[in-house]
Amino acid sequence: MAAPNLASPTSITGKTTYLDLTSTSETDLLVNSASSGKALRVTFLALCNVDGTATVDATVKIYSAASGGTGYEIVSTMTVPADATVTPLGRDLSLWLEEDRRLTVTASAADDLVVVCSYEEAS
Amino acid sequence: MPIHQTARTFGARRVPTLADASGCWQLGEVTQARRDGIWPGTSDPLFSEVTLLLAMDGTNGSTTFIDDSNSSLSFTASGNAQISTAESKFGGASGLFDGTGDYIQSDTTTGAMQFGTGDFTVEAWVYLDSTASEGVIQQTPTTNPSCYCSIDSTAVRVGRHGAGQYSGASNTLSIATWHHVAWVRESGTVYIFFDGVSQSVSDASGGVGSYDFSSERTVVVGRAGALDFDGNIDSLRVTKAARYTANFTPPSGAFPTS
Repeated sequence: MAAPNLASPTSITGKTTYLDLTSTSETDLLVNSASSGKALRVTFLALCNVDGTATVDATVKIYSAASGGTGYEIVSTMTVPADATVTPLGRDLSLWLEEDRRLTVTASAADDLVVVCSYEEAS
Repeated sequence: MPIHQTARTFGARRVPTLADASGCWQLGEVTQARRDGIWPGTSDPLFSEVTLLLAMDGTNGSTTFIDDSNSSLSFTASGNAQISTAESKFGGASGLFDGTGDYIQSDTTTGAMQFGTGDFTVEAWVYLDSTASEGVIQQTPTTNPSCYCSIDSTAVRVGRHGAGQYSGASNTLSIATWHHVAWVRESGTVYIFFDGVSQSVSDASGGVGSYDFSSERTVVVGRAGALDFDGNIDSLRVTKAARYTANFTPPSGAFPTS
């Protein structure tokens, strides 16, 4: 199914997803599967360091495929200070996630980074 | 702290500091703060295991070498060992050793390289002026059970004094070029990395794989046995943990000091 023409989508739904990074492994945050018929517009992305004393490094990548593919950094090992939140994406700096694409997040320390992502799902 | 409690939203605009950047920041603000040098740097999750950290920074010609690790060791320079701003990997300076009697030695014995049979990582950026065998770091006296790390144009070695046994790996080293070298032991297995690439290690006769470096000794940088280092050393760090066991990208900045 083709992604919708954004001039006349059937529906646009506001959604939010969350991620608590309990390991240092790269983790999928948002996946737009192949032939989903959807286009996802990320309008808010918050990287929150919930550790009160230590910094944590965060990396966010967009991948060229919903599974596998090549990753391209949006944020690369950016230090998020203790008790701080960084918003690399927002409504004025939004990102389209086409079909067969995904966003991943990696933290340098386990249990320190919580990610909140709001997006519009157009179909 | 609630993520919406931001100076951007409430009241005067806050400016982050190196000590405190709690709050909510947009990417542009982070970029500006990093550009201004006021964005907190990365902390080292293994810093509590760091037993020696020589940034080799300072004024040109200085003979003061500061240890930023928890050991806070004091060093005395011998020969012409000095800080030089002529070559640097990070921080604008490095340690200069001319290959003839230049080294620095800790003023006291220390457990900085008292690894026992445990894991360790010794790493440094080296800039060699010759292809002769050169010592980077060692414990003294040069008897059992002292550890040393050396490098030359054909091999990188981590060995033990008094036994003539070492673990080594071949490499292709260029003089007058900065190279990152790491000597690692994890669970009795020795890894040697050259510019982040794992080398094929020979651990003949036990090398150092399972050896017990059991004694507190003084630490010497710029010499191993009779091998004096000829060139520059920058950002030398000893960690009582295995930082690398697979290929990695060498650090792109100075080592964290916390």
